[in-house]
Amino acid sequence: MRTNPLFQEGIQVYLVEGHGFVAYFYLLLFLASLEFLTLFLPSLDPQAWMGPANLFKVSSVAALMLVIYFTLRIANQEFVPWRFVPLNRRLHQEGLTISEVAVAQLSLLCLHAFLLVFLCAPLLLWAGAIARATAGSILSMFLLLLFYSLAYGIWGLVALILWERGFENRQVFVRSLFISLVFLSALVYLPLNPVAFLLSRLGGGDMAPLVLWGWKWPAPSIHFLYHFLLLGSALPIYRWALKRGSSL
Amino acid sequence: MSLAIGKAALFFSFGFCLPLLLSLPLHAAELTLEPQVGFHGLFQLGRPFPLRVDLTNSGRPMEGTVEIKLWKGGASRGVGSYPFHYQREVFLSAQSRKSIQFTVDPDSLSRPLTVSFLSPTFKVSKEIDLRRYFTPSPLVLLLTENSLSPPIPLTSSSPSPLVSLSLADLPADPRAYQGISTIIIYEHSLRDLSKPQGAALETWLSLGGRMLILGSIHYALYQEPSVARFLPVRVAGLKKFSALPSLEKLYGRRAASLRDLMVQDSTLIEGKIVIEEEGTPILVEMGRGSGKVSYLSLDVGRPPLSRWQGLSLLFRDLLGPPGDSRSPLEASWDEAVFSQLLSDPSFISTYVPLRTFFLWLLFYLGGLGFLAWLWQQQRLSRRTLVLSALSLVLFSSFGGYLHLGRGGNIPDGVLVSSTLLQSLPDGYVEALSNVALFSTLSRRYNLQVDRGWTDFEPVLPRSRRSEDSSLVVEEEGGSTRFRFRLRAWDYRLFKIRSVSRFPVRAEIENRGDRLFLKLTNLTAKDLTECWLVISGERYFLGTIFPGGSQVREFPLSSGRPSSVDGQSKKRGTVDLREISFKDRIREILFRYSFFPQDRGSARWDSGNALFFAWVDGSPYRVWVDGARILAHDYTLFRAMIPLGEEGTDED
Repeated sequence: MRTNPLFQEGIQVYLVEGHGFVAYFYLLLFLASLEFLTLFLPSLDPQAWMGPANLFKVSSVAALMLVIYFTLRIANQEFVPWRFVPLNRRLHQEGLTISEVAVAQLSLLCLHAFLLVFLCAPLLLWAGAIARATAGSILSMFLLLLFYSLAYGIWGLVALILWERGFENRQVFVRSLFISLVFLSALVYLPLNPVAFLLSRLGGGDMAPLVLWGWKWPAPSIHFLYHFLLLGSALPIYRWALKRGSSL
Repeated sequence: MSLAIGKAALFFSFGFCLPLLLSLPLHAAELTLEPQVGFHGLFQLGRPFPLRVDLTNSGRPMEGTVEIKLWKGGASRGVGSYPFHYQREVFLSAQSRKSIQFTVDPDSLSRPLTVSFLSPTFKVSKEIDLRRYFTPSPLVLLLTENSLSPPIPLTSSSPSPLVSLSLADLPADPRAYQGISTIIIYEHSLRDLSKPQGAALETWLSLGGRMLILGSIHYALYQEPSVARFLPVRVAGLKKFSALPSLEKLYGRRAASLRDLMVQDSTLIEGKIVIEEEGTPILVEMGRGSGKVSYLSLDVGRPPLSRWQGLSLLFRDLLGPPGDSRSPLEASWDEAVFSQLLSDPSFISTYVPLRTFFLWLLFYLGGLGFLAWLWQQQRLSRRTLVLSALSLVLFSSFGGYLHLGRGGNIPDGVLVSSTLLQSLPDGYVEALSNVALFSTLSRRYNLQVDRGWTDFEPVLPRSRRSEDSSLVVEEEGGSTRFRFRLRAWDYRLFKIRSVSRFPVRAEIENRGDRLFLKLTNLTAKDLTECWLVISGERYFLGTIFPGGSQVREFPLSSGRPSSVDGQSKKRGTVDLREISFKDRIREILFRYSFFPQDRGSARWDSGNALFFAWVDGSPYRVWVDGARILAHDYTLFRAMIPLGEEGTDED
């Protein structure tokens, strides 16, 4: 992996030169402000005293949205896009294979997803300590964050390969995808929505099962089936897009 | 082979199954349970009443729990019905009987009350339809050892049923007396009255109960300390009167004259003589808190008085409706008040380590920012900086988690007890403790209250589920324990009423054109941030220490205090909400609970002086078992001092 120029380029641009720090900065700034305001500002809501109680839920949901959003943007090479060598040159002039490109980009995606979750871990753990969340809740929240960031982030790579030269197209696609999957999916069927599912997991409540043709499908099964399908469908599309790019 | 199987089957049937089957009915017959409702099967509707459970064990020693299940809430209370369990652990030795007294208070009689005995191996229960036992009016209890009970002529003005009771049947819980209007004692030694029974009677009296002690020719019974403690007189012996004109003047106009009566000779100790004859008290009344003790020195159970026609009129007065129809002490206590309290950052900071959290936040973000700056400046090697960042994140994560979670002293539960003490005569106070318990964890709680409480009312929101409202009451030793479960970050509100001694004396003296008000603190507690509101003006009195006093002087104008000294502030009407206190939580409780806006200020300014002060520590204890419980206790003493009767004392 160390010799893979695509992987080295990602590390160099985002981490060594620090162009990816802006994503971490915004993530931490937003999350820290939210936690601070949840605890310190009294609200007119009659349930305001529940501030400490809801701190973990609020922080987890905010972290979920931010991590997905920034993973999508990083995967989509939205930060300093001019610093990246075009894919065509990598494939045709530098002689990289499709597999090498895929492995490098997927590794970078995993690395960034992990870094985003890792950096907000202290804030989430403190919120969990104050809200007296159980270790199981905290662990499941971290696992879900990583899972969602990969399941959604891979679509950032798909967009990157599909519209490498159409920067605006990619931006529109990534934002539309984010809004549809993180917000609008709740209108179709609540257990599909990652925010609703995370809140339900942390609150210990059960979501209504899906009844189809007389069969009852438990909400968690539907949720994970849907997300594995999302992840599973992204991988062949990504591979197809890479193949199409190499043949051009 | 088949023979062996057949033998084994026979052995199993006779050796194991048969004894087991035979033992079942034997076990079922071991214990019988007989509940006795109210006072000889009667109780007043809507009031707590005694319930005695007689257990007879005809078998082996047995240990278990006697449980009474009833239903509280319902449409009449505006909340959903929820189960209320009273429990008591019992041990029954072989061939023994045991009686257990409960005081129960169902909100509705439409569902039956269930009495059960539960043990790991045995269960028996009985359902009682309470609709067969209630009466709409309060009861009159008669305590007498005389087999020929005195004629108590209950007139139409007093429709209360009369129940004759033995001393052993008297409950030891003051709450059980709430459906009793009067207790009549006639020719009865109270020597066997237990200490809890005596205390219960005292509490009931101070809460507004009435006791009528009827004299008898067996005067020695009235000289016993057990009876004398309730008497307003000291009984010396007997005295013979040829006539009782003072009594006949009031009650015997249409009746034949009384001749040659034996009357108890006595001297007044406390109270006032209503009727006397030649210096001998005939009828004496004495206040005891909000209640009253009447003493009649005549023997109404024997001729000639037992046949006297004026007796019904006399008893009409003695058993008539009480003159003091004081409304119960009220203070707002609901979700709205509670949210006001808990949304206050000063209160949140008592159970959430806000400052520590803020410091950790600064440390982490500052550390990351500093490392990012070093990274950009390239002053240290990349490897060192990566390792430093890794260490910072890991240290902040786990250090902060442990510090905030374990070392941050986040309690399992927070108990808020806000008590309003309302002054009653004779140095008593009626205490209304508004209690809130909220939990940061899902766990069971044991809320304990000192013995002597008179009312316990859960305050439930309409939306609360029945299973979340369930309560188990256990009485043990000197306290009552309320067991319930709270979910994480859930809470429950309760109102607990009680009566206790808390003597704060107010003396008013009229010296011509000036009125002097002297307030004396005879309690063992400091009265802090004292305020006096009088004739539309308010005065800050500071602190009155135990044994200390404060004297205030008011110039009189047409019989009313008119002007103020330098510390007061002139106002048309006193707005109590403008009074501020050092402690923000006290202020919230004062404004939203003790003197809520909807009650207005007019009520506190109707020709009376209002005195209030914060008390350091409540005279009535409410606590929760467990070390990780944070308790906040706030107590306000409040007294209304009538200004109409100058020269009188008011406790």
